[in-house]
Amino acid sequence: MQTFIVRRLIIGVVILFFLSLIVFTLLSIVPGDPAKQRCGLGCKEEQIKAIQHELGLDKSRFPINVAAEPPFLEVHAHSQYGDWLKNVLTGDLGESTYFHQPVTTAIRHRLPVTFELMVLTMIFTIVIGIPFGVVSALFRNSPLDYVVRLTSILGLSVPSFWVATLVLIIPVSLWGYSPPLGRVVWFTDDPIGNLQQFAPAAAVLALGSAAGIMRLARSSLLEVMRQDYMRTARAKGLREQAIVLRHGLKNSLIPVVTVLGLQMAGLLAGTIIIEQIFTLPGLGQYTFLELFNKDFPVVQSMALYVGVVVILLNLLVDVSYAWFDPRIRYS
Amino acid sequence: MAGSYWDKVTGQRVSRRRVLQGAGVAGVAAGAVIVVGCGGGSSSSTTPSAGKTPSAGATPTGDAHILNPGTTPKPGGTYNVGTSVDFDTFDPHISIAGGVGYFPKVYNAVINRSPRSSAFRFDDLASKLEQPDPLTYVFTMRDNVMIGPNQLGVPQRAMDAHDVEATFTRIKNLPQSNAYAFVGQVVDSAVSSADGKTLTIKTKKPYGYFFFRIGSPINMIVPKELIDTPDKMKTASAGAGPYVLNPGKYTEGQGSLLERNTAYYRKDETNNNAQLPYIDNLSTKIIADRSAQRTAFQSQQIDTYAAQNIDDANGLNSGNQYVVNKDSTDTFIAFTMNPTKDPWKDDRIRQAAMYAINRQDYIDRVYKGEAKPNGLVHWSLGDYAIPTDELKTLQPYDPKKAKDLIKAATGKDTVDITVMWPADSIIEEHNLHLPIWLQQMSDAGFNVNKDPQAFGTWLDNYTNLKYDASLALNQVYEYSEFELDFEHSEGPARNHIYTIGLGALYPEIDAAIDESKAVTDPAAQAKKVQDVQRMIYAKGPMFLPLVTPYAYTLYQQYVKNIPVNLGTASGLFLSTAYLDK
Repeated sequence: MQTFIVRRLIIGVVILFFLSLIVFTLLSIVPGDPAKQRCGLGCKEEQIKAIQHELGLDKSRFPINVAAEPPFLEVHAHSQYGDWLKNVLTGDLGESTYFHQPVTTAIRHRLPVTFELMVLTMIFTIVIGIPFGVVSALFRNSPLDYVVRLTSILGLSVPSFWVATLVLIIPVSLWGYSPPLGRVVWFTDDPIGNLQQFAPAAAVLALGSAAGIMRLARSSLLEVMRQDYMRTARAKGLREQAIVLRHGLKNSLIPVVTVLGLQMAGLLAGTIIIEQIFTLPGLGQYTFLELFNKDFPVVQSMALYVGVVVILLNLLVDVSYAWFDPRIRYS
Repeated sequence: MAGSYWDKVTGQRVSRRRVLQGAGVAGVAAGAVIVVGCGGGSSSSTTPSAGKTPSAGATPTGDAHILNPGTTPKPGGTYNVGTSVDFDTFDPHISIAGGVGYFPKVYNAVINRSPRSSAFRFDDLASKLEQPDPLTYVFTMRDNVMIGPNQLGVPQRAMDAHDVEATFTRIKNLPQSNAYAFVGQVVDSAVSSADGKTLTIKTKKPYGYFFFRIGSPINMIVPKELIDTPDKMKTASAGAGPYVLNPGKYTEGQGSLLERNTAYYRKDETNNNAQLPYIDNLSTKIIADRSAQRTAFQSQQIDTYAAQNIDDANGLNSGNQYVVNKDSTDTFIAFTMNPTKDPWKDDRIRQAAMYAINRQDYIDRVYKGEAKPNGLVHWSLGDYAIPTDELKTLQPYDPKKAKDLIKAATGKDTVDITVMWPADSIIEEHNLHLPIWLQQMSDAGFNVNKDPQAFGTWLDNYTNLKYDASLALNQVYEYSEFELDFEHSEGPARNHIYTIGLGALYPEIDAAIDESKAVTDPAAQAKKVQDVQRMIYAKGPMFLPLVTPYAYTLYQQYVKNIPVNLGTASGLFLSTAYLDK
């Protein structure tokens, strides 16, 4: 197992390197000069140059460039990508060109917000998705099953930004109530206030993922219930509850866990919209804002962050298979 | 404070402003004074009056008035504001975004004149002005403009001319600063006397926009201790303005909490010289989404809300439970032609474009009647804009005449034009303008080759003059200088980028624009600006602003004594408003 994890981590580092290279290349070909955008229409050439220098945009983009003349390669001791990479290796993600603050500081402020939102979303997803999926499977083709399936289709088809807007508008129109907006209420300071702020956003975010898990849990459990070992368990005279929970559910969870891992990674994208609507200052909102601002150090660092999260989540999911199915061994 | 002019700007348009600001940014003066009917501030030996506060219920001039007047002001409380744009920094010389609206609440201006009406003049750090010649401004500094108690290590002392000199020296050495366009290029020198009581500013040329520029939020005067340690201003700020932002009171992405400057120099003469400001804290919450901001206002989490349009305002206020203010704005969408390229070289084709535009259509369909047509200088700039009635004769909607001009110029019924625009605009009004504009051009005989572009591409092409014509994003200019410069042969930045104006074809237009900049008497300058516009109309302008809308701001009923419709004089609000909770 250890060898497996170490190997996956090494591959992860290689993936991250190529990811950063691709993101940097894409950002460098995006039209528009961030210095000009920042400076405005009334800007003089010397102002633009000063801003380019301040942002490091006057340096070569890559450490090695192809040249038109022999030896056809130019090597730069300082380049935008090379310097960024060097700094990342020392834990310095650079400074936001918009906020003029270290990116690590912003991540430190915002990561807890996104983390709590994702954890709550996962809790909602699991708590709603799996039990209703199980109930739906156990009462297949009953009215209850139809209701659960219909609800899940609704959850999958309704866009979360629309639901989020309704969640804000309807309570305030009817009762003058809305969740706290604009400032984070930390759990340690005010647990109730914190849940009032985060739970609606997490519930909206969980709507689609819970619906998906509900359907997957249902079909997966139905599949398992048809297996021989389930029949054997019944023949042994085990109680139905034990059959379903101990033998059926555990075995049916492998695809569910795989999808949950993927959903967790996908939530990073979902938080961009939901954080914006519920004004939760997390990493999603930060990425959105800075992408708009052409704040390249931030966008580059956030791409790296998302890459790290996805790689670690995939690793976690793979490792968890061994717990769900002892027959799976990694070497 | 939100709801005031600057908050509307920061709340709704600052992100757009970043690409449009530069010379177009004009001033706000914190702790300002309104002098009704006072003449020009630039005439010799003028003495601005000392810091008085307009009384509640008074009507200083024009549309400006005190909204929701109270009886006896109550000190205390926290005023909550929502803003869609985060602060980038509290360094006024570097900031390009959310901070701009807040600088007058913390720092000070030397002096400011309202760009909308020459009847407004504001003085803050200066208490007296002498102008021995058109290039020299000698300010006598006001005594006891005290820096507030703060945790930034800035000593509690009176601001003086040394602070102004330090600020100007810094900006002169900071070409990346937005303030550089004025301080670095218009101002020749700023020298303080040894005792710090007198400040002498010399300009390189006579400059009629001096008082707008020197009072701009991006030219705010910062205590010299902070000039020496500018990093402190990234997340905190202190000065002699009405509020202080102490370290730890701003969290990126969440908001800020400004605390009252207990040593603020202004008193309320209408209320037994009570200490101003009345409100203890200004809390700003970053609420990016409009529906969330609306919700926060309805649930009283914020005290003011800039409505999207009149429908939004009326919808919210159906029960008359809020205080609503209607104010003019400085924003518009414009059509730009490149007069060095065909077919725009021909005066008749540019004039045809002018006649093709039916501004009333935008007013009715986009703004539901809540806007007014613009001339070359937008209408809300008051004396500087050509009166609406005259505009009807200068730029009438006449598609037949447009067709006739096209026929005369080309011998054909139609003419092909290529027009670019930013396709990924997040501005709803921009998207609503586009189909109307396309239809009107088509009706007048223009075959439009559509060239929608990504914003970055559009900006690059606009910057480098790689276009025949462009429908631009919202323009926001608070005085007429920049708008006229679009017609100058050197373009708005005077370095041959962005646009080539009509001056490239008619040098007398360049000369007239330059002359208008040098007129230092406000009334004479306004007249000159109007005359230059008439001259441009006769040739066929290459820059056509469409319409400028009104803005609607809602306040909770418990917010009292709100000075409104002051243009950039929103600093007043800080001092006289109070919360009657």
